[in-house]
Amino acid sequence: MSAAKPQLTNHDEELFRQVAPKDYRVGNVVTSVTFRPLPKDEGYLSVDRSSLTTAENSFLQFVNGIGNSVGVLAVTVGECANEQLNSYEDPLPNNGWHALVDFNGLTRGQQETKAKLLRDIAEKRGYRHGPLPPG
Amino acid sequence: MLQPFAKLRFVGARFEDHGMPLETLPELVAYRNLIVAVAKELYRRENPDKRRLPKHFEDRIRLELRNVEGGSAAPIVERRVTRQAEIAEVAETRTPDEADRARDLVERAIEAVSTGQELPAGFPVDALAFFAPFGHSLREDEQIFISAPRPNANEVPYNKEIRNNLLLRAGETYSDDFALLAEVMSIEIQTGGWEVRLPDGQRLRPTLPLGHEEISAVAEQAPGTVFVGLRGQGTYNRNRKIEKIDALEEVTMLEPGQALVNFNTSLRQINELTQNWDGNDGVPIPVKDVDWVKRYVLNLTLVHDIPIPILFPITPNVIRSEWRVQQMDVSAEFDLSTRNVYLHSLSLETRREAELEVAADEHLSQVAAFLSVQLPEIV
Repeated sequence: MSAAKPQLTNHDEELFRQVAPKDYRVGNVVTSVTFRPLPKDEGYLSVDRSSLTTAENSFLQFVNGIGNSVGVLAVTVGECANEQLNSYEDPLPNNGWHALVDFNGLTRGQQETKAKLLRDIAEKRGYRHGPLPPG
Repeated sequence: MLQPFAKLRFVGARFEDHGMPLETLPELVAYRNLIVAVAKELYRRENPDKRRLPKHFEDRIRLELRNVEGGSAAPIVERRVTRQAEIAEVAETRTPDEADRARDLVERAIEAVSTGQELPAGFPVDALAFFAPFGHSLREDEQIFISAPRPNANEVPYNKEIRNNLLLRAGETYSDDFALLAEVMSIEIQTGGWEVRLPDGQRLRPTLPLGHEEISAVAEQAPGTVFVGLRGQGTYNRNRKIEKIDALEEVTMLEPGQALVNFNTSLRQINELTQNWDGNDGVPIPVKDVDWVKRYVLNLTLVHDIPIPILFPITPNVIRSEWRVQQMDVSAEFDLSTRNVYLHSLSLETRREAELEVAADEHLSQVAAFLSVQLPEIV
């Protein structure tokens, strides 16, 4: 990611995160991996911005485009900032409301801790869309 | 008249109130039979011209229990001397006979094997089998300290491990009790034949005792979800690994529970992954790798009492398990390439963290200890 991307500053803005079917469990429980970047993500967690789209649109755009999802969870820019995680605008050609949460520079243990904390916050907030039975 | 023969001091939790639990009394009978067996072999060897043992040979070795010393339970074994000639000798110093030499030889054999040395010269190998019942009822934390009535006699420790090593000097295997937890792999209702798999992956085919129709019924309806506790006697090899079940005395079906059903569903889903399952061109995970994680987690669950986690793949090289118990959020990532496991624990309440990365198979106990400490006990 280039350093020039503007940082998100509205701490109340929600960041939508898709829940992959493999991370969705009985009782609407999700795994903490949902909120941790994988090696292919190069340290950035992909999210969509609530100021530019709805959770439902975010979901539909995702499942009609690049992947599978059972629903949408959310954390706010402020909640990420509380965990020393900065968020940045990252509009894509096919997804103008895309953004990134930056996990770079953290140890593996720190990434685990922050992912578990964000998942806990998001679960308590509840699903913003879905969950739909994995199909 | 009676003469001191040996002191067997039993040490362990069961003996702390100085009494001999009745179920351990066969140990004294086994000790007597061992002494008699060795004495017979010594006599035969020392009297090659005699085709038979003297009449009433065993009557010459009458061992009795008249007193159990305090401290820990320490039965004093005394020998009744009946022959007039020997009674006369007792007042002076009786010449040691086969029984006395058998006692000393047994003591030296135990001492030698416990320190990894060869059996003492002259120890009759045929008598080694008589060690099987001696020490059979001892638990892991229990020992017998044996001493002869000599001035400044050393106490020779004897326990289950030494017993097993002595038996391995006679052959490739030894027999011992077992208590195992196993997964039912297949079952043949008509023949009662079934196959079980131990947490380390080893498969055994015991005969299912009668009266276990419930296990058969569940195993048939929901294969892969039945776990049983087994008790009985088995044959062990030099690596302390059970080779076969000789006698199956007790079979208990464990409650399958929703967690176990979910666990098995997850395993099936991981085994059914297809190309590009992760949206990143990921290849399916080889069954042998899934099976390794399955056996590892079951070992933690069944042997080390760790709750069943949720299980899911992250990348073609990593399978992850997670436990959430009360405010503790604990995870274990199994790297299928390196066979390392990375453990991470977080208290959502206090934010206390812990982590550990080790070679999984070599450090199973350490992994189990980490999880035991981090996961609150489920009441």
